Amino acid sequence: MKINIDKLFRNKIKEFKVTTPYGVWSAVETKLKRRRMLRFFGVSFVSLMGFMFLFFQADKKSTADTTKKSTSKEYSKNKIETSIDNKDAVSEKFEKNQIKNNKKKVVNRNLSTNITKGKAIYVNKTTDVKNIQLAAKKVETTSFTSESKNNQHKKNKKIISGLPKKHPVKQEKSFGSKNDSLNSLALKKIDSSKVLNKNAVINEEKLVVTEKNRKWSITPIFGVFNSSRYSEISLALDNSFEDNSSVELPSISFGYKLAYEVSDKLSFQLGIVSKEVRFLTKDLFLTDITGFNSSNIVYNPGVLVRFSTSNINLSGDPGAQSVSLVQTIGYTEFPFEIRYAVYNKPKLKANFIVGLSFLFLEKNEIRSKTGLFSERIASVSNLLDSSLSYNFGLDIDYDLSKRFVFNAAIMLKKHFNTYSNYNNKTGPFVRGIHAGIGYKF
Amino acid sequence: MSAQAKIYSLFADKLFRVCLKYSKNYQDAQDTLQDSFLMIFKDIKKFKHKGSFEGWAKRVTVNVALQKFRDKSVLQFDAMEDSKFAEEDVFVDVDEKNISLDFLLSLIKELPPKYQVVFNLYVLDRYSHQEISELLKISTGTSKSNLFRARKLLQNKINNSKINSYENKHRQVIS
Repeated sequence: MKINIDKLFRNKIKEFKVTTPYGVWSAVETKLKRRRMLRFFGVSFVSLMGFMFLFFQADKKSTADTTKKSTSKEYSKNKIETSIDNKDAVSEKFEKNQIKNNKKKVVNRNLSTNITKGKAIYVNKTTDVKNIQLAAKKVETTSFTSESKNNQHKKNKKIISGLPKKHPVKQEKSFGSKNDSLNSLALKKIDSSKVLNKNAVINEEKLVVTEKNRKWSITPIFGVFNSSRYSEISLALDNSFEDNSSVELPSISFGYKLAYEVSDKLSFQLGIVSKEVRFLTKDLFLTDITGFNSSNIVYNPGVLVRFSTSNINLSGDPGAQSVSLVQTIGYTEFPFEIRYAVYNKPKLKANFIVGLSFLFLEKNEIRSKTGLFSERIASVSNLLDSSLSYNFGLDIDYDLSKRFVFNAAIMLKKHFNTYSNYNNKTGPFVRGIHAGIGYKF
Repeated sequence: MSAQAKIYSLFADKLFRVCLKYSKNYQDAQDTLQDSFLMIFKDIKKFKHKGSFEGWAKRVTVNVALQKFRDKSVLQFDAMEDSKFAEEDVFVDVDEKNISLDFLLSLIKELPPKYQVVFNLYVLDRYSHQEISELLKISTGTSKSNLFRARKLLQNKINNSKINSYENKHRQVIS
């Protein structure tokens, strides 16, 4: 019978039924977890780098400002010294020129004084000629030789009479005395140095303030916790496990904490932490699937055994029949906490902590643990994807250096809204410590 | 059970079928399935609810399987392919009931990769030549000619197997 080859294959492929091998999901889940962890560390690393970058940018800026300030100080100092040197040079020149030409000297001196002072020469209508003449005479009596007195006087008269009457030259206070102007400059120099010193003090104060102003700190933390519940541990897993004894299991947490100091007493902190809550339910048995239903435990595809409270309907090695159930609940935690300093010394600080955490479910697994094997076989269906915890604790900050601080905290965290179908009494609480070395910026 | 585990339990078997069609052996198919689920969970936000999730997941799986062919550099199409007989249907003279699926799948796996891929896409996964050309970055003519060659090769293999099985039966009768 002739048949279209496409039709032949299509008809046959309809019959194609396969069962996925058991190990694939475990491999997929492991890789997903690894990816999540990588993402977490990647984000943390990038955030840390971002903070470091911002910090160094801020640090560079402040260094640049300090350099700029010191440069301008140097500049003004040099300027003052230069003007003093100029003044000396001009004065020396002035003395030499005095003997040659008195009139010229008077005008030059006036000019040079004004120039060194950085002022423009100006003419004042209100100053009369007499004052100028008296000033000229004074210059003659103090500075000039008797030989040149008369000539100079005549020349002075000539020059003064040659000046326009409407614009008589104003007599400056500094005009008559070189020492006066030098003294004033010296005073200025002293004043400037005072200002310099004052600025340096201010800058030092600023630096001290900057050092004190390291209000932010980022701390990678690592913690060890113990988990428990106020009510029977096993109810949240299965109603039939009510009488089974339970044991608290230690678990670890790690992450980053970012703190901001509002005042000496008060600071806020937030963070991102990966943590696990673990419980062990004892005295259970493994049984086969027939006639057994669990209220909240969802077994992985391909798992052919079930937890049971009674030793019935069992097959296989007796050693494998008695089993403990290990439940692990993993969360990504975002804590928001307030710290209040109850002890505050320069190096050591103790704080009371209160706050809450947003918890996002990351891991939900149940392992069966016997004397022969430990294998992940199920998860629970009643865990909510997001929940809360109220946090209380005490922590200490010990300054290792200006930048680094050791932080350790004892915390108690009560979880709420953990399960979809149980009240908050069954919600776990964790208690433990975490510690880390923080970087202040 | 997490949402990802639910998705896995719902679609794993269906996608594993796809993987088996495009893989040389069971182990390769497992690897392809694993990579496909990782890709699905990574790109799940890209699913725009246009069409079924199953269809989208299958397309992702096919892409992952094709990528494995590309990685091995076994998927090289000739630039100039003859599409003269491309549209021609190919028939085999067999009793459908006497042919097993395993046998047909083994015939597909014996095909050169380029024919195997085009045949799988067109015949088993119902892709059009246009879609195949976009997926494999070849012309529709190349897709058609590869399909035709795949069909012809499969026809020969089925006919040969028929002869062989007749000869075997004949030998058994003689002996």
